[in-house]
Amino acid sequence: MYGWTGKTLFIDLSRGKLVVGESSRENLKLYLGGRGIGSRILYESTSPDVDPYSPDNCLIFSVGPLVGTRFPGSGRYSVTAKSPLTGILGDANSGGYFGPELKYAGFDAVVIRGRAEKPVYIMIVDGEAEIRDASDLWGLDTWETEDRIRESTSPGVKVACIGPAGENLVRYAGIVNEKYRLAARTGVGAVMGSKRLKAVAVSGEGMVEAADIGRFEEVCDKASELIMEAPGYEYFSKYGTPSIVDRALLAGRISTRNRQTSIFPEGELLSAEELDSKYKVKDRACFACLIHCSNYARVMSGSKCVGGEGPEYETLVCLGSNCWNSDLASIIEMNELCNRLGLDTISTGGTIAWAMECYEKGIITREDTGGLDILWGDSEVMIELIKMIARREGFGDILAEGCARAARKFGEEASRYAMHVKGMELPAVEVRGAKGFGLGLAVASRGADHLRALVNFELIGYPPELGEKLYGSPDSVDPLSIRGKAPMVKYHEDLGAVLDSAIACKYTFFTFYTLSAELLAEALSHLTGVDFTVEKMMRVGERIVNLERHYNNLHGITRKDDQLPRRLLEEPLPEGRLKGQTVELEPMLDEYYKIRGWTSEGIVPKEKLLELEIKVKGER
Amino acid sequence: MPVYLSISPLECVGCKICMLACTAENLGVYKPTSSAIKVVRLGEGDYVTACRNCAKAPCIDVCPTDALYRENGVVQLSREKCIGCGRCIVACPFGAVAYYNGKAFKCDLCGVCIEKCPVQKLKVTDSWDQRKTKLWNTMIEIAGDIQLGV
Repeated sequence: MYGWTGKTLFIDLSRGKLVVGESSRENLKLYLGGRGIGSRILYESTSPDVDPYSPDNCLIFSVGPLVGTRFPGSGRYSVTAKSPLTGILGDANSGGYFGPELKYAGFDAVVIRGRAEKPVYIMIVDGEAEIRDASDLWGLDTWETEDRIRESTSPGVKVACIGPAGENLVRYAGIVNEKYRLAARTGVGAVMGSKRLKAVAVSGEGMVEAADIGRFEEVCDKASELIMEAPGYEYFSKYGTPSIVDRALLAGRISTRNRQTSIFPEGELLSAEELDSKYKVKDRACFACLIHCSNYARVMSGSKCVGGEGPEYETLVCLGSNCWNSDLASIIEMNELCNRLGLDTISTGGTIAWAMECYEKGIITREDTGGLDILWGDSEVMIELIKMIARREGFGDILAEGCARAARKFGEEASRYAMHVKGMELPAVEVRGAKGFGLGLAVASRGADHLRALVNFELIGYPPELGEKLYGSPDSVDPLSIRGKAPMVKYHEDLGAVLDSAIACKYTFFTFYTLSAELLAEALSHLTGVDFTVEKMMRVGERIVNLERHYNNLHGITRKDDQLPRRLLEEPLPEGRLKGQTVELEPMLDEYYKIRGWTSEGIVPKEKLLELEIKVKGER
Repeated sequence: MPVYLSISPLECVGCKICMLACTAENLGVYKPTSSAIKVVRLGEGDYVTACRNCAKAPCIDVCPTDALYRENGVVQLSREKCIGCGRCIVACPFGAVAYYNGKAFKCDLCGVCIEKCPVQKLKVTDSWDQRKTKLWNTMIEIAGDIQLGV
């Protein structure tokens, strides 16, 4: 096969069985790979009554046709499982070297079910796999785990593993590869922990073949050129996502104090320049990526040198301004801590910010916290809390449930301050100043997620004519307008689903907007030999979005769940350029459902599933 | 003096695009393990290795079919003559000789990796140039020390 490997590894940990099977050709064409294939397999194999922590939940590692090639930003993998944080579809995506290695080892996907009796890890070498004992790895952090596995196997082995957070079923634990790269969101690491699976180690010497390598290489060259010549490439490749902090500060749009305001007076201390000049050692890239947006940074903490890749924008805001913390060195330290323990920095920060506000308002007291004063901006307490969360110790045991569940223990008012959608904590973006993102977070299939519809388009300042041409309204280029946002979100979601499945990093497309869907379709066609027209490819994206929605519908998700926290809908921002802004969600939702062809309650009708060739489970 | 590919481990970002470009151009597939240039990540550095075109090249010495030979200072490999015995792979002190489809494969300085390097810092280095730079840097340092009275 071209592009794909055609093989899927099925593992039942309860019985200790491994089977190498064929990947469903039909599914590969309909869902590409990565997130699409993951969602399809999850849909086929988990019914609504399956508990995320039960052995019946599926954990799927998957790559796409582009993975392992030179297409920019294609070095990623996707992990899918029913989420213990949201109870619905969950997936996460990570860069580094692990994804391509899995492809070179000969697999499109690894589907893991069951639960091992004792801790185990899976070793995959060139088309073969075995389950190995991991009793001596259990309890170790992710860095130690990776080092140990490499020592006992081979130095070139790539490892994706969980840390103590995943073992202890912290609901937002992630899966860590190459120490700094996380498939962080929706608690996929906790699902791995519930299966007593410590790590997946891969070594592959295989290759990826293209149907037409010459023309595919030409497309790669063209894509590389378009990215490297884009205005902003130099800036973004030097500073990476921390540069978004600067942009957000300028626009008065930085989430601060659990989103009580969008102005952070000490924001300059978290800026990209600050990170670059004081702590950065070098640029880093994921496999096959020419943007190299990652920053390798380090800092002395006591007598220890801490750091690594990151912190990224999300971490800088979620553990920084949103907790009123302007100590950049402490964020670098917390970033390392979260990487080692295997925690999602977004949800960790969101939960701590919630606790800080509740403490401020007197809802949470010293009695609840076991004597800790959870004050705004106290980075030492934050570090302590992160350790307690991963170990589920004392008050950390409550925070490990995520802010939505934790808030239920403290009553109605506490829930008002829990910033989540469908149970997942909000990412850094202040959506009262970016309303397309607001709609995106509300409807995203994995809870509050900015990456499903990464509508950076509205923030760039494009001319109104372009907005009119693409999304039917000149106002769509204005982040404060709600016009044209529904079609914009739909387009970004559909193309985003293709990118997540192919897999290529969304930053290659949605940062500079110089790559087009045509180019991606061309790349996929030359690579796989399957004729992907733009229409056909975008239908793949739409199919994935609709399948995921259908899966969530089966789990009871409707319009009532496509909401944002009340604060963002009702409390106007108090100061700065965005003073007075809230998100006018309902009209956007109406328009969005309409263009999606869903009912006004947000349910995918049967005809839509038929139209998109989505085979309904149990029907032939 | 020997010429070879080099880049500073702090300037290399570890994207491995050079490895992908190498195999795509020369072998027609994407297969990093067979690449003639290798990037290895160790700690914060990303280290690049390729054939160093040694003056007394062990690979040429051990090749039983004279598939390896020198041309204009660069060690070349004849894929026709190669019988895939792997002796050169074992003999190379840098692990720079790769293997693909039953035959050895090594860097012949075709330059595709340099062309595709996104940080544009990968280059062909001459050991002599390096020596000169190092020599001068040391001298300048010593001269500075003397002026400071150290």
